[in-house]
Amino acid sequence: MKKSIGDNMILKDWGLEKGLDLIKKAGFDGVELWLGANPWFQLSTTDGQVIELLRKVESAGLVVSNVSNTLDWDYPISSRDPKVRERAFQHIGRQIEVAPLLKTDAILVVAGLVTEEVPYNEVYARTVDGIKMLAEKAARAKVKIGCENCNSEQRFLHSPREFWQFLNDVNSPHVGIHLDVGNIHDTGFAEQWIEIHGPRITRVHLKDVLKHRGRCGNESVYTNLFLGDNNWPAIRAALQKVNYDGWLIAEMEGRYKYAQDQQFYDTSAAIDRLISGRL
Amino acid sequence: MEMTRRKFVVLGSSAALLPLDFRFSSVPQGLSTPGYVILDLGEQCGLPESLSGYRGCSAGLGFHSVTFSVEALPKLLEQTRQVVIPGAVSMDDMLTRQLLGFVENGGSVLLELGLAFAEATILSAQRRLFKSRFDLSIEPPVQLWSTALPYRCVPYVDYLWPKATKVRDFSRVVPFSAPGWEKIAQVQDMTVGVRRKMGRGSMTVLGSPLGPALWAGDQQARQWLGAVLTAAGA
Repeated sequence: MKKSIGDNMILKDWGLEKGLDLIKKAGFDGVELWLGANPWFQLSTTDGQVIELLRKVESAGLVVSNVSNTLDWDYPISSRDPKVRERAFQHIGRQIEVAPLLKTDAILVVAGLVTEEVPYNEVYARTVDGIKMLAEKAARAKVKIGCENCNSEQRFLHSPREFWQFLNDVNSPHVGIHLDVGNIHDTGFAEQWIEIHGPRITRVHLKDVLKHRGRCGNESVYTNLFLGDNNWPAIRAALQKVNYDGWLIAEMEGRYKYAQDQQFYDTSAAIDRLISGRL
Repeated sequence: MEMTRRKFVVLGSSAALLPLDFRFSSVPQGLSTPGYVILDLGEQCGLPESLSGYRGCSAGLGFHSVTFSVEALPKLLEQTRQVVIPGAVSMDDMLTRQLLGFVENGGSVLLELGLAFAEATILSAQRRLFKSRFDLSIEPPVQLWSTALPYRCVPYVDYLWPKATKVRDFSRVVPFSAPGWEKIAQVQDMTVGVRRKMGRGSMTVLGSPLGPALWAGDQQARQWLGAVLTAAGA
């Protein structure tokens, strides 16, 4: 398995090059690029600028593990407003277009957002339809769409079997699950999700979770690897069981208050321990 | 639901021999009069989900429906008594005159407006048209869900006719101010559904889209549509 971390972890005042150097020095193999998160990768970024972005990644000795986006929350494909859905298709379409330019074959989307206003049944039907349409574009680009399980935040597809049914309804080999082992909170167990989805897992996001916090208060439910309640030996065993040998991508919500570069080294070392089984 | 002879004949002929939908085909020769005609306004339908909703639920309600474009309408109006128009964002004067003539001669129209999702210039023109042709005042769109509100929304439109029921709102509505019209639906103290007898027929206008709820499988929305079609003798 290979290690990656998101470019959204790069502090704004560091800049891209310094951030990429740090990621490499910390021992990562790749970087996850977040469309919309940083000035160097926006919807307005041209193909030429994307190629230049790849050059910088490769100059740092890294590759692009996948292309994610921060835009789905404001422009969900499950929106009632056709104009908002059009925006969603635009940015997800752009992810699909740039993935081959960045020499990667996977993108992440947060597919569907249930709110008090937009109910579950609508979100489900609209999301299945939308992802089916995007799957055709993904197939042409030879890219896989990984729908992330943001269970509690999306209020959508809470159980692994429901997610399985969703993928069945989409019914495309170009659509799978970008499995986040920290997002399951107290609604289940990451190792069971891994086992159920197996070959449909496009990428894996790593973070730990403090289950007792839930999402009710002001404190983050997420924490750094090995500080929370995930059963990491079980997660590792499940990944082995389903023969997952792809990217493990660190996604830290909270940053260190001091010595912020240290978080990159610590996270990289923790993933090494997970991969090697020294737990 | 009561099975009228008309429905029985239509269902009997259509179920055995014909697909449920004849999108954009010319009027089939020998086809029994359809239960109702769904008018596809093409680009002037602002809510494609709504069109899908009306198209998808007719069979389950025990009705037969056919979908046609505006070009085929004059011919169709001679053969049906009920026209449903989903998600209308823009209608021209000729179409409104055709519909008025149809209603005057005993037809029923269920017109669902998608104007809450329309551009301001289109909205303004349509408001003028509706006032002049139907004596119906359309108020500016209202966003039902706003973080600025001091209270939490109850997400339902209350339908009063032909049966009382609740159906989820669709976030935005165009309210009506229509003294000569009967109020048939309301949300947050706004009138969002009206009906009026005209000549030998009637027109029902919805300012809150119902079609997306039909599309999403809302049982109460489907039952309400069934009741409207039954009342119209579709």
